[in-house]
Amino acid sequence: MGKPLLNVSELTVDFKTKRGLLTAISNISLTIKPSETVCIVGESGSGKSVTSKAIMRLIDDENGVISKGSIQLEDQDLNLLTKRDLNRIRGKKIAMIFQEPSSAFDPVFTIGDQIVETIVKHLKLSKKEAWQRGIELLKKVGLSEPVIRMKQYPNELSGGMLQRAMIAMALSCNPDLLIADEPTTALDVTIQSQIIELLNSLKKEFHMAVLLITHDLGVAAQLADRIVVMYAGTIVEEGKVEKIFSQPHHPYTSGLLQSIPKLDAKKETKLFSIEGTIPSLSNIPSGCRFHPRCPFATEKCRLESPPLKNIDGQQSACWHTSELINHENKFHDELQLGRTQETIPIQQEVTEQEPLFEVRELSKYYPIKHSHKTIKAVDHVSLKIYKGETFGLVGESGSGKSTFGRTLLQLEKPTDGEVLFDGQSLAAFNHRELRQKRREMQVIFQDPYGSLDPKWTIGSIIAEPLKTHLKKQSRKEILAAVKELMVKVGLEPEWIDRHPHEFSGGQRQRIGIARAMAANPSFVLADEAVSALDVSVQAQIINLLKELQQSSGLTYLFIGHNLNVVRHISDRIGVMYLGKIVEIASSEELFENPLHPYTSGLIKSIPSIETIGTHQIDTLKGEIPSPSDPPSGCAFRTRCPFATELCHKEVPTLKEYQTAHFAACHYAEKRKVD
Amino acid sequence: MRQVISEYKNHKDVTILKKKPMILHSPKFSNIFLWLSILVIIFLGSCSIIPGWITPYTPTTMQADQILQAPSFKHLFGTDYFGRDVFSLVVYGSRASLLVGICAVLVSSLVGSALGMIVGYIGGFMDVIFMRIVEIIQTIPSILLALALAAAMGPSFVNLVIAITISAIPGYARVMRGQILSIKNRPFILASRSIGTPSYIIFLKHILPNSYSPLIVMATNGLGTAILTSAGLSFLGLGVIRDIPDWGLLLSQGRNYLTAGWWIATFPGLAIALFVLAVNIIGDSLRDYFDPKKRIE
Amino acid sequence: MLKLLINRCCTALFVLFGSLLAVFSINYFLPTDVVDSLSASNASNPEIAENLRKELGLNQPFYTQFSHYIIGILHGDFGASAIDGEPVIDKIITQFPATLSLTLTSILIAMIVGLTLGVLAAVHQNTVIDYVARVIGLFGISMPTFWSGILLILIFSISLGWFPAMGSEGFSTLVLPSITLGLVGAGFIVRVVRNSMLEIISENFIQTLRAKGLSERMVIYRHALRNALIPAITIIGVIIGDFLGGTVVIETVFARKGIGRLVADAIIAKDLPIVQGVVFFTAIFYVVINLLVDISYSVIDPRIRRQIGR
Repeated sequence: MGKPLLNVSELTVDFKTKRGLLTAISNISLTIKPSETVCIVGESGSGKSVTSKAIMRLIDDENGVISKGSIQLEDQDLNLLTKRDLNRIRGKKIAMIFQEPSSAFDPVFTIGDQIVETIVKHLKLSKKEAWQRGIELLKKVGLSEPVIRMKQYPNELSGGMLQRAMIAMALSCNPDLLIADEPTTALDVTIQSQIIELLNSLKKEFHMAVLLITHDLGVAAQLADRIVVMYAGTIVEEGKVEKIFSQPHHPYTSGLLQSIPKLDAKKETKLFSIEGTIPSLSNIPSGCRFHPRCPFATEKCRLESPPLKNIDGQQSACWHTSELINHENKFHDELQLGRTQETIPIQQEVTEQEPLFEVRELSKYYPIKHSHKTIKAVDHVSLKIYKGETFGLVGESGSGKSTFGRTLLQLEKPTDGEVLFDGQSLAAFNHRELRQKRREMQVIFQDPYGSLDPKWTIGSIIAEPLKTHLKKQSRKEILAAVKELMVKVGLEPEWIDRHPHEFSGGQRQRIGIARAMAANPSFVLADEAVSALDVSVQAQIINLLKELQQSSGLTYLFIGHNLNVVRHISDRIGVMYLGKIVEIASSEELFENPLHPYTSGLIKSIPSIETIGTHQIDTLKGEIPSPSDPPSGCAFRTRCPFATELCHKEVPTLKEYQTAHFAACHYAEKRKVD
Repeated sequence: MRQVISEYKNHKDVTILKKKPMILHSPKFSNIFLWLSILVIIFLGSCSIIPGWITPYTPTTMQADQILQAPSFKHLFGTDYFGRDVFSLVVYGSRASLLVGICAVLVSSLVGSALGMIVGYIGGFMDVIFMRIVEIIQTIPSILLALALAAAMGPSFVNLVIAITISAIPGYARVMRGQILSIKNRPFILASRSIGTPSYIIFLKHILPNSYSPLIVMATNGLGTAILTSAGLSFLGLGVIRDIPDWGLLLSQGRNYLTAGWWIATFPGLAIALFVLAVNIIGDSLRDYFDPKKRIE
Repeated sequence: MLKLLINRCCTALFVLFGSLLAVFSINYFLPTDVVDSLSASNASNPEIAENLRKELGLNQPFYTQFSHYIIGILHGDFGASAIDGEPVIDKIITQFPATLSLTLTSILIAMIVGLTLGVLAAVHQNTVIDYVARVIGLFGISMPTFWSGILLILIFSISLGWFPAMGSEGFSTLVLPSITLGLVGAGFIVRVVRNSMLEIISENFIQTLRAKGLSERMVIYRHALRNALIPAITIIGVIIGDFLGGTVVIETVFARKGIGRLVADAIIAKDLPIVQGVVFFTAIFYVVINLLVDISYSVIDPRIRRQIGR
C-alpha cells in the first residue's frame, strides 16, 4: 500500500494540572494508510480521545503538551507546525467529528453559515458557491430538504440530523483523514446504524482514511479495517479486525469481547466480567497496567511493563501472549470454564397466574406551554408484570419508556388509567400510604453520579430507606444492616463514611443498588441502570442484579436501550414506540420471531461483533417523530417499509398472535406466516 | 484539563479523587489578596468592637489648636475642621457603619432566602404571584427604594435597617428560588422520593444542605452592597444622627472641605472601599470554592 | 415577532401598574404625609392641616386616592410639589435631560471598558491582563461612588484643574461624573463577560470550530463573543436601573442638575409627591429599557427568536 498517510510514533501527552503533570497517554504509535479505517477502542480513561485530539493538536487549548513523539502527516510533522500552518491542515486535510452533535455546533449561527465558513476558509470559494456546495453536501449525507436545513439553527434539528450535518461539514473540503470521536455514542441505536452506513459509503466515495474512536466493539466491527485497543493510556493490542475478534492476543481484549452479552448466550449463565475497576490517571499501576485485573498476571507483570510484540501481524503488549497462543486451548478453556462454572441457577418457572403489577390503560400526557397540544409520553399502555420475573422495556429515546417507569410507580401522577400493585390500586392510596408502599418498590437510576446526594456519606445514603420505613431500629442495628448490604453488593464496609465523589461510576451504581435493596423491596425498577457504565463494569453490575434477584426473589422492570443487555437479563420484553407498547413477548421469542416491523428494525440495528464488516443495510429509516405531533393511525407507519393505507387510518391494537406474544401491527398475522 | 476530566465524567467509570482543596491552600496570586482581605476584615471588625484599644484619641475631642492638620505621625489621617482626629473618627465610625450593614444582611438574607425557598419548593400559583411582586419591586432601583423608605419612615437605626433590608430581599429570594428549582430536579431528589422519604425530610436533609452555598456567597457580597447603601443614605443625610458620625456622614461632611483638607473625606471613603473590596474578594473566593467545576481543576 | 412585542408590553404594563401601587402604598401607609411636610413651613395649626387634608382628598379611602392618582398620571399629571406647588411632571421634564445624558454616557463607558476588559481577561486567562481586569472589576463594584467621585474631583479638578468639579453645563462637566458611574458598570460587566466568555470557551462547539481550522481570532471574536454577549446584555438592563439610582448620589456629589438631585433634595425637604413622581418615572424608564433588552436578546440569540416566532 506504500507510504502511510498518518504516522504517529511514540506519542506521549501530558496535561498540566494544579498538582503537577498528569500523563494521559504514553508511547502511542500507530499508522493509518490512505483510505484505511483504523479504530481505537477503549473504555473511559483509556486515552483514546486524547490521542485523537493530540493528532489535531486540539489538546494545546486544554493545557495539554506533547512531551514526546511525533505526528507525521505525509511529510509534515504536525507537532512542529505553527498555529497558522496548523489551521491550514485542520478542516482541510484532517477533519473531525465529535460525540455530542447537539453541542458541537455554535448555537447562534445557522448550519449553512457554519458549513460555508469552513469552505470559504479552505477552498477560497465565494460565499454563494460555498452555499451551493453546502446544499449538495447536505444532500449527500442524506438530509431531506437541504435548502431549508442550511438556513436552520442547530437547536431546530435532531441529534441524528445534526450528526449528518456535522459529517457534511467535515467532508466539505475533501479531507484525507476523518477523525470520528465517538460519532454515534450519543445517538439511538437505529440512528447509530444509519450513521455507520453513511460513514461506510462516504469513506469509499471520498477515498479518505478514517480514524474512529469508540468504546463500542460492535461499532468498531462494522467500520474498521484495523483495530487498536487502548487501556489506561497505552496501546495493549493492535491488528486486523477479523484477527482481533477471533483470536485476541491480550487478556484485556479477550475480556472485553466476552463481557458483551451474546445473542446466543444462555440466560442463566453468568456474564463474563473483568474484575476490578479502570485505574485513574493519577494512580496508574506499576508494570503492565492491566495486571491488577488480569487473571493471568504473574510477578513479572507486576514489575515490568510489556512492550508491543508482533506475532503474525498482530501486536500485543502482554508478557504471556505467546504462551497464551500456544496454549490457546487452555486459554480458552479456562475462560470457557469460568463461564460455565459460574452460572446463576435457573429461575423457578414464573408463575403466570400471579401478576405483581397490573397496568390498565395507563397514560401520561404533558401539556405544552402556550399551546393546546399535549405530549403523549405514555399513551394507553396495558401490561402485566408477574412475580419473580424480569420484564424488559426497550425503545428509542422519546419512546416514553422512562416516563412509563416513573408513572408506574406514581412518581409522576398518571393522566389516566390504573396501576394495580399486588391487586391494590395505587391511585386509591393517599399520600402517606403511598409513601409507605414505596418500601416494596424501589428504583435504581441511570445516572450513578446524580442520583446520590453529594453531601451525604454512603452509609447514610444506604440507610435512608431503613430509617424511613423501619423507624424503630436503633443506630447500631442500622449500621449493621448497612454494612451487610455493602458486603452484599460488593463494597468494602469500611467505606461507610466516604462521600459519593470518592467512588467510580460502577461503585456508585453499587451504592444505588444497595440503597434500593435496603428496605427489602419486592419490586425494583432499573431505569437504564447500566447504560452509563463501561462494558467491563456493566457486566459486573448485571451479574450483581441477577444474583440479588435470585437470592431475594425480586421482580424487575428493566428499562434499557441496549437490546443485547435487556435480552440477557429479561424474561419477557416489551417494545415501546411513541408512548405505546408495540410488542410483548418472551425475550427468546421476541428476538427469534419479531412480529412488529419496529422490533425487527431495532434488532437489525444492533452493531454486532459477530458480523464483522457486514453491516445491515435494511435498518430503520428516518427518526422517531415528535411525540407532540404523532402520525395518524399506526404511529410507526412513517418509518415502516410495509405501511399501507390501512396503517394510515387505523390505530392497530395490541393483540395476542401466539401464546404470550402480543403485537400491535395490522400485518402481524401475515408476518407471522412469513 | 477540564475537557479531559469531563471526558471521564461522560464515561463515568474512573475514580476521580476530588479532594476539597483547602480554601487557603496554595500560595497563589489571588490567595495573597484573600489573606489581605481577611486581615482587613479582622482589623475593621476589631475597630468596631474595641475602638478604644486602637486609637490614641477619643473621636469627640475637639482640639481647637489642631484644626485641619495634614496627616502626620501624630494624626495618621490628619484632623478635621473641629480639630478632631480623623483616624479616631474613622475607627469609631466603623461601628455604626458595620452594624447597619450586618443587621440588614442578616435579616434580608434570612427572610429573602426563606421566601425564595418556600415558593421555589411549593411552586404553582404562589410562585407566580411572588415572582411578579419581586419583579415589581425590582423596577425601582434598590438605592432609590431604600431612600424613599428611609425618607418616609424617618431616620433611625431600625428604619435604616428595614429600608435596606426591603430593597435587598428580592435579590436573595430570586437566587434561592432558582437554586431550589434546580436542585428540586436533580436525580437524587427523585431517588429520595422513590424511597418514600417524607417531603419535609427531603427539604431539610437533601435540598437545604445542597443549596446554601450560593446564599453564603451572595450574603458575603451583599454585606458589601448593604454597607455601600447605608453609607450612601447617610451621605445623603438620611443616616442615624449620633454623637459619633458614621463613615458616610464623615465623608459628606468632609466634602465641604475638599480644598482645605483632602484627607477628611478621603480616609472614611477609603475605609468603606477597603471593607467592601475585602468582602467582595472573600465572596469571590467562596464562589470559586463552592463551584464544583473549578474544584476539579 | 409582533406577538412577542405585544406579550412583553402587556407584562411591562402590569409591572408598571404594580410598581405604581407599591410606590403609592409606601406613601399612603406611612405616618407622614404632604400636609406634615407643608406644616413644617407653614404655621402648624392642626385645624388648617385638617382642612388641607380634606381639600387634597387625603381623607378619602385608599382606592379613591389611588384611582385619582392613576387617572392623573394617565393625563400626565404626577401631582404637585408640596413645597412650591409646581407640577411634578414639569420638574422632572426640566431635570431629566441632564440625568439621561449622564446615564447614557456612563453606559457607553461601562460597555466599552467592560466588554474590552472582560473579553481580554477571558482570552488571556491567568495572565497579567486577566489579573488587571479582575482587579479593575473588583474595584468597580466595591468603590462607593460618592468616594470615587470625590477622589476624581480631588485629582482632576482641584489638583490638575482639567475638568470642572461641579455644574451641569456643557460636555466637560459630564466627564468626571460619567467616569465615576461608568466604572461601577464596567466592574459589573467585566465580571459577567469574563465568566460567560470562559464558560463559552470551554463549550464543545469551540472545539469544533478549532478543528475546522478557523483562526483563534475568528473563534473568539466571531463565535465566542456573540454567545457571551447574551448574559452581558441582561446585565446592562440591570445596570441602567442601578445607574438611575446612582445618579441620586452622583448628582449630589458633582452638584449637577438632574432627577437624582431633585429626589435627593425632595427627600430632605420631605416633598413626598416629588419623591413619588421621580420613583415612578424611574420605574417607567427602567421597564422600557428592559423591554428593549428583551427584544435585543432575540436579535442576538436565534434560539429565543424562533421559539417565540412559533
